[in-house]
Amino acid sequence: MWNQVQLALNESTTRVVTGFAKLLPGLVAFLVAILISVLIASVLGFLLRRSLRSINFDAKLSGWELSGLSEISPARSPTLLVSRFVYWCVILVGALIGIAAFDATLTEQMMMRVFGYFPNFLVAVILVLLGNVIARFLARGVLIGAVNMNLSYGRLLSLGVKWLVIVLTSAMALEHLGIGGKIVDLAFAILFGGIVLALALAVGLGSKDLVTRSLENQTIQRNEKTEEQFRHL
Amino acid sequence: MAVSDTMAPEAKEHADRIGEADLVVALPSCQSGESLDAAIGVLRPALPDFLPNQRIVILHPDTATNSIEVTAEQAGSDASFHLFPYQMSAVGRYQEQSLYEDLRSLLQVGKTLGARTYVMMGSETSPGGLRGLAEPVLNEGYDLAVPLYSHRKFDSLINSGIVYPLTRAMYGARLHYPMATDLALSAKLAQLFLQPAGAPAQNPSSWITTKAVCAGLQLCEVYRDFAPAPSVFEPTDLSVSLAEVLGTLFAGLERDAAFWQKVRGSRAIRAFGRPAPVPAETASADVHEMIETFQRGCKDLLEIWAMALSPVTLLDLKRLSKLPVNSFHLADGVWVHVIYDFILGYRQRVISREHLLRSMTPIYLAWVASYALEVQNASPAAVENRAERLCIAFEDLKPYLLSQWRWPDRFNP
Repeated sequence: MWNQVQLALNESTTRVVTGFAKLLPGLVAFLVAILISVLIASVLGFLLRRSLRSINFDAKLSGWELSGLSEISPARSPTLLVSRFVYWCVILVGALIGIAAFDATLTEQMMMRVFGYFPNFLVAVILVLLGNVIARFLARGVLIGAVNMNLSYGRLLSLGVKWLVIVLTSAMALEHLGIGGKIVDLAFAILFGGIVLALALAVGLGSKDLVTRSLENQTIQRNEKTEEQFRHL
Repeated sequence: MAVSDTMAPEAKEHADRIGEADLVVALPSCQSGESLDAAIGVLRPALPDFLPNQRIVILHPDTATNSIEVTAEQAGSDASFHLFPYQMSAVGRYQEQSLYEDLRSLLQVGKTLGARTYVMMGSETSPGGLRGLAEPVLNEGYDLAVPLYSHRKFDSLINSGIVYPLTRAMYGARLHYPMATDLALSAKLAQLFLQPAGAPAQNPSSWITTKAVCAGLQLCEVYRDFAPAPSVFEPTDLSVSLAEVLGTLFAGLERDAAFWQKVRGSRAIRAFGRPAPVPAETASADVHEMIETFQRGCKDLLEIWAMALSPVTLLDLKRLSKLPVNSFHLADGVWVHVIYDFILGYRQRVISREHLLRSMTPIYLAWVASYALEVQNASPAAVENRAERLCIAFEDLKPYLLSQWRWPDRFNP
């Protein structure tokens, strides 16, 4: 009896130790892969940062009317944003290589799925980033235009434009990621349609007089009154 | 010649038929046959007396040719007076692109004809105006003559509040209308303008007046009557006009940085003729809406202004927005700091340049309101003194701009 217990214990210990021994090289390979990828990512990030700064990337981007990108960047620097993005991409690849060292078949399937999904993910990220930049740009333009026209609801208008663009691009991004399926489409259609309907009702019914009066005051009368007395050009 | 090579073959043929000219005058505002008829009808009889023994070519938009056949034939019979149809667009004041293109047309044709003097009549077509501008260049050896308009206290406010004082402080020349569209140029300045560095096909990044100052050429002003009213070709939206003017002005400063950083003070420019008397006006100014726009800007655009303005200037503007109309006053120092900070913001591209420039409209309106309240009952002489004080403030605070331009990261409270 005792002998059988001892045998079972020996066998289980051997199995665990063997399993651990089998896992150990994979674990070490994973750690090594992560370490190497961190090293490569750091060097690549550093070089990228240096070269982007040397070509004055941040200023050039502002010149291309993409200053909205700097607002969502760490320390308002698109250079940092790009270098950090590359840094984390390299680490992600390193992690995938590390995981592949554990079990080839499992990771092969995982890699296939990850890489199959990657283009969608990339497009979604680009959509969100671009949407954010466009939303901020348009919102700022609307706000400045509204203030220059002396409209009292400029901030509201600007906020509305910003969130419309963000909601639109987020819905597009979620569709690319395959998250939510038809629910997103439906929710977006209801939300967007609701906003448009609410605006139409507000303008058409409740605020008709207010809007008419406001537009008349802000454009025609103002121009007539001030243009007569002051000539700016 | 590279320049004349760009002319259409018909235009070149026409130039060959004419031969040579002393004076080439462009009339881009005559876009229709009727307006050209009227202009030629006034100019042709008067010019031989005003400018004797000069071979004169009138360059006009080719859209106006059909309806003036008779006039053209009559003009063509006079060997010293010719009409030259050419592709030209109407020039709106402060619309540098159209002026630049028309100037190029004028200078190309003039160079092909070997002209000594070039006159761009962008807004007026009177013989007196033409003579006044052409004479200093033809007879006195000046390279550029620009009009010095008499103006009512509330006219040309962008020029009085920003363009004149800023160009004076930066370029050191007291040219009262650096963006004038009526100009007379010498062949020397034409040559400079047409040089490859002057960049045909490039967008203009500074005016011909400031180019002439930078090149150290001889400049003069000619007293003229009141500045012409805005034409139909000019934008009616103030923020668009302001952004256009400031955009050209600031781009020019960026381009000419090596020049203006060395300039200290300013020098007077010789003026020909006599100033037209300015009537005394004492109408009270209605500035409520301008102040309201400024206050709204202070509420909604503060985050945008904060990207360009220094904290102290921002604080001054906040304080100003809380003042009642009767004590509303924007100090010259604050206004100059605003302009200089926007120049720096434009240079550093803190946000989209278009947005930055358009966001300045409420502050500009605050300046107009403050200025209007100050001079509404003032005599023309007092208005002149007021303008002079503003110019001096721009000159006195130039070291601030210089320092921030050279060391943008320096602490700026």
